[in-house]
Amino acid sequence: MLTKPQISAHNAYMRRKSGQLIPIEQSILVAAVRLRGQGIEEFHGFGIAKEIRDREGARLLTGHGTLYRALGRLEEQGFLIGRWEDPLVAAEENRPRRKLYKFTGAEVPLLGDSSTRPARLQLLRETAP
Amino acid sequence: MISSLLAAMLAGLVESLFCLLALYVARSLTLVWAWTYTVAVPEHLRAARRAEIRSDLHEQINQMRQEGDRSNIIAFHILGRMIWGLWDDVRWSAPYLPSTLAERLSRGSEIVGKARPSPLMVASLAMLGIMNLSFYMTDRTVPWFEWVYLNTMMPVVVLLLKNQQRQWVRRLFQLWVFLAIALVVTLMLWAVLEFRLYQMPQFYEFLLQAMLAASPMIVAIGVATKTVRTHVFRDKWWPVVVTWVIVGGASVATGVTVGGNFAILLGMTVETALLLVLTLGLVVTFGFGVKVICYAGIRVSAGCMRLAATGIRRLERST
Repeated sequence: MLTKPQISAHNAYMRRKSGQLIPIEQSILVAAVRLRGQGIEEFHGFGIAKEIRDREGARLLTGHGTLYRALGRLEEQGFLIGRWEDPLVAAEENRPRRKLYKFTGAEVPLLGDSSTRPARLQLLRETAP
Repeated sequence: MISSLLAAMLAGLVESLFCLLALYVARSLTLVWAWTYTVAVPEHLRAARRAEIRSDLHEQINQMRQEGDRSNIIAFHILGRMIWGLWDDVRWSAPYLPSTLAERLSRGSEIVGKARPSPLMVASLAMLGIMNLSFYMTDRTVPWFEWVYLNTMMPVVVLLLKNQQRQWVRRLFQLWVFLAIALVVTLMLWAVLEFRLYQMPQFYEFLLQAMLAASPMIVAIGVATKTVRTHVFRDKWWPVVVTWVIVGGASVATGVTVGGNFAILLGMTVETALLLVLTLGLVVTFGFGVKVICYAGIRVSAGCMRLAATGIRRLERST
C-alpha cells in the first residue's frame, strides 16, 4: 500500500491544485445537496456548518474563518449563489440579516484520497436532483 | 443559617452571572477579531464579512440555547470556532492589506483620526503629572505594574468614550462597566457576610449616609447621559434643576435627621463630587496620548501584517 506523504493524495495537508476543491469545500457542497434533497434550497453559514457537523459526527462546528472563506471561494467559482435576505424579514424576527447561499448544480471536480472519493461520488449521485 | 442561605443564593447568582459574562466576552472577542482582520479590506467585503459573523453568532447562540446548553458551554464553542478559523481569516484578508507606506498611513489616519489637543487636555496632563509625582514621593514601594495599570487604564477608557459610535466599542465599554459594578457589588456582599456587618447598627447608618451622599451624583450622571437627558428631562434645563433640588433637599433633610449632623453628609458629598470631577478630567486628558499611541500601534501592526501577507503570498505562489 502506498503511504508516502510525498504523494499528495496521501498527504492530509496537501496544497490546492488549480480548478479543484479542498475537503471543506466538498463538504459544503455535499451538505448543500443533502439539504436540497430535504427541500431546503437555500442555506446560511451556520446552517451549513451544523449540517456538516451532524453528517460527519464532529464535536465542534467549522471555524468561522474556514467556513466563510470556503463559501466565498465557492461563490466566486460559481458553485454557489449568495444573496442577502430581505431586511424586513430579519427585523420582524428580531435578528441580524442572513446571507443565503444556493447550490447552482454545477459539475463538481472532486479532490480527496482514494478512500473517500468513492463515498463522496456515491453521495452526490444519491442526493442529486 | 440565614447567612448560609444568603451565601448559597449569592454563589448561585454569581455563577450564573459569570456564565453569562463568559458568553458575552466570547461573543465580543469574536466580533472584535472580525473587526480587526477586516479593517483593511474594501468596504463592501468588510461590511459583508462582519454582518455574516454577527448573524452566525446570533444563530449559534439561539440554536445552542434551544438545545439546553449553558452559557459557558456556548462561549467555549464560540471561542473554539474563532480560534480554529484564525489562520483562514488572516489568509482571506492578506491580499487586501496595504502594501505601500502611503496606503498604511492613510488607513491608519482613517481609523485613529486626527489628534487635536485642547487646553483642558494640557491642563489635565499637568495635573496627572503632579499626581504621579506626589504618589511617587509618598510611597516608593508601589510595584511597577500598579504604575502601568494606573496610567494606562484611563487612556483605554478615553479611547472607548471617544469611539462610542462603533458598536463593538459600546459593547466593550458596557462589558467594562458591568465587570466593575459586578466586582464592587460582589466584594461588598462578601464583606457584609464575612465580617457580619449586618449585625452592627452603625453599618446601616453609614450605608444610608453613603446613599444620600451619592444620590445627587446619580442625578448628575443621569444628566450627563444622553439617553436620560433626552427621554427623562426632554433636553430642558428646568426639570434637571427641579429634580436636583428635590433629591438634594431630601438627601440633606434625611441625612441631618438620621445623623444629627450635617457635616458628615456634606463631607461625603464633597468628596464624591471631587472624585467625579477628577475622574472626568483624567479621562479627557488621555485622549490625546491614546490617539498618538494607537496611531503608532496601527503603523507597527500594519507592518507586521504586511510581512505575514508577503510570506503567505510566497507560500501560495510556490504551490
